Amino acid sequence: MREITLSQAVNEAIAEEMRRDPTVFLMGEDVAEAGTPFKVLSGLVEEFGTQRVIDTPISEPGFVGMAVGAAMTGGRPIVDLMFGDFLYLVMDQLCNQAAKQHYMSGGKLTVPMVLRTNLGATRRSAAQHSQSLQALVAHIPGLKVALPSSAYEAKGLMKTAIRDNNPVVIFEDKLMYQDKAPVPEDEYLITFGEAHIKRAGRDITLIATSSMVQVAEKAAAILAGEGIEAEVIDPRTIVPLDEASLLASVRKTSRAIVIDEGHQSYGVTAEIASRLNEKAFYHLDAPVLRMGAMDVPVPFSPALEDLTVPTPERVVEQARKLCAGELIHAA
Amino acid sequence: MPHEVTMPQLGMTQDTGRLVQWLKQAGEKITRGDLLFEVETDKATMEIEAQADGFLTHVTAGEGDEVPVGKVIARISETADAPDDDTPRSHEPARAVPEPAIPPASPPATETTSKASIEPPSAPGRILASPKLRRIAREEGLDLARLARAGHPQPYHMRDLETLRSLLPEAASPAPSASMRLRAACPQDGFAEFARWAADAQGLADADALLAGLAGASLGHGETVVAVERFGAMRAYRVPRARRLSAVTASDDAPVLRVRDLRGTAIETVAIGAEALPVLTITQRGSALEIILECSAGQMDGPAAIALLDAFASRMREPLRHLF
Repeated sequence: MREITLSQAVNEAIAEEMRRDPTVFLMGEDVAEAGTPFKVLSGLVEEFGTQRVIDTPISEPGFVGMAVGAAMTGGRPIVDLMFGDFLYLVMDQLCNQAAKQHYMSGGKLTVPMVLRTNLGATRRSAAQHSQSLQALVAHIPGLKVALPSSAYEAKGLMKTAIRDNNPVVIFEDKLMYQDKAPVPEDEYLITFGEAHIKRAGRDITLIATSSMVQVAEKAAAILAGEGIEAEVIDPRTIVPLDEASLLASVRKTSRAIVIDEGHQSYGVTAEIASRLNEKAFYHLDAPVLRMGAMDVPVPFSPALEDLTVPTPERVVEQARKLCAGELIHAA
Repeated sequence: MPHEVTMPQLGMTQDTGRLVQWLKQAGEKITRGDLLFEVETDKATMEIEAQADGFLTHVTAGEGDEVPVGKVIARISETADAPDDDTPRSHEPARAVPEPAIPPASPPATETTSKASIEPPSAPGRILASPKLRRIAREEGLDLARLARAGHPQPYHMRDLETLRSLLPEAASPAPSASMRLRAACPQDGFAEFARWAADAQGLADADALLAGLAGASLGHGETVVAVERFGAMRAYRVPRARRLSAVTASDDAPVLRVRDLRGTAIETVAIGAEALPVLTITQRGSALEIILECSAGQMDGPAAIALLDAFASRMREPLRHLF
């Protein structure tokens, strides 16, 4: 199968959906002429013109609000938020308006909008351009949240997001745009709420999102050398969450580490770990561990920044402890 | 209050430690932090500090002994000649105790008879164990305290299950006869009305056959035989796989379940304990029925007992459910 970059996969997904459905359009800062700072959208304005690939002023609340309105009145906007960190600027448009219109209109209105943005540290972009804020939106009922972990997921999830009649926030990892993965040329969609078992194992389950899937896979490879068979599962969407698959895996392995690049406290890892504790308690042979980003603003210093995110080595270290039955945080 | 000196656990998988040498003599004054003795594990030799002030007494482990982790090997007492039930009092009593090359004679109070009945390493109290191991141990009727009494280091995980199983007495003990008692309640009129209707409209006049039919179906495993006991008299019924109440017939076969109907007696509830068969006892309390299931763990496990009682109580509440 051909291999393409995550960046090309997103571009293909959007182009295919724009060809298929004339109501799909793209708007955001630098999406047309520049094709975004990561060049993900290059070439789209040439094919679809400035009526459907719209450069906006630097005003996130303005253009996200416009997208919500367009979605309520027949358009299917893909709105591009240059950095996930800018979510704070559009909280009202996204969480109070987009997320609630369908409910508050008694089902009369839908908001088929995709908010495309990114996450991920270690790009030396400092505290205001390095955050992973998926927990912030996953907390709000009415929003779906997708976290592609490779080019394959990026394309399939984007196409599903565009066709979904609800607002979907899709986070791409900034560091993965140039990563290649096998992507079929034939059309495919990835259903929301279906986790993917990346690697089967019997001793411990590593539940990982987005770029942390790579971290978990590297950790699993190291652990395999020590005789510990780790199962790696990618939920692919955290809303909706494929709880059944995660529980089935944990019931099998009886141990789990949940890895996500958002801050650890009150985060995605906490939510998933909590569900495992509630619903698989009597199958657990060790506490479910969370591994998120350190609860600090992401440092600009490379040496410090690298310390704040989960790494394969740290996952291996924790997995070893769990499998050895070491006392973890016991009173 | 004397302080007990125990063999420390220095590694996760360590069961015993070899006492290399005492660095203080019995009777000697000890200050907290003094190096007290040396232990050799499979990984290293370590010097162990005293954790209390006082005098070293009651030394029960000699140099070269393999000592289980957690076992008391000496005390730090307030006086050099701290009393003990059995220690001969002399001016320097302690010196005589630890020196012999043969395993030191322990005072009878702490004497151990075999490796299997080593003293508990301090009162275990709450045992640290994983939820999964606790569940499996409960299902198999195993007591985690055995591991603690045998001196195995906590916390316990699934990896300790084999050890726990092997700690069971050699003689295959009969299945634990611990009895289970489960209680359910439901309104009484559901079944009463159904029985009237069945008799009037369907010609099924034997209410005991109906009870047997509902109970047999609640077992959920095909054709079965259920006995109904009323005022001490017992009648058995065959409940066919298809569960049709009209097809429930009297039987002479051995029942697998007994329904004891105490409605109409003054008895409000029962706690008889497990009998030869699982027994569902029905009593009347005002306008409600109480249904008690009693059985032994050998007859039925917890989930099966819960499923049986729940299914039977649901049918008694709403007998029409039986049709679906």
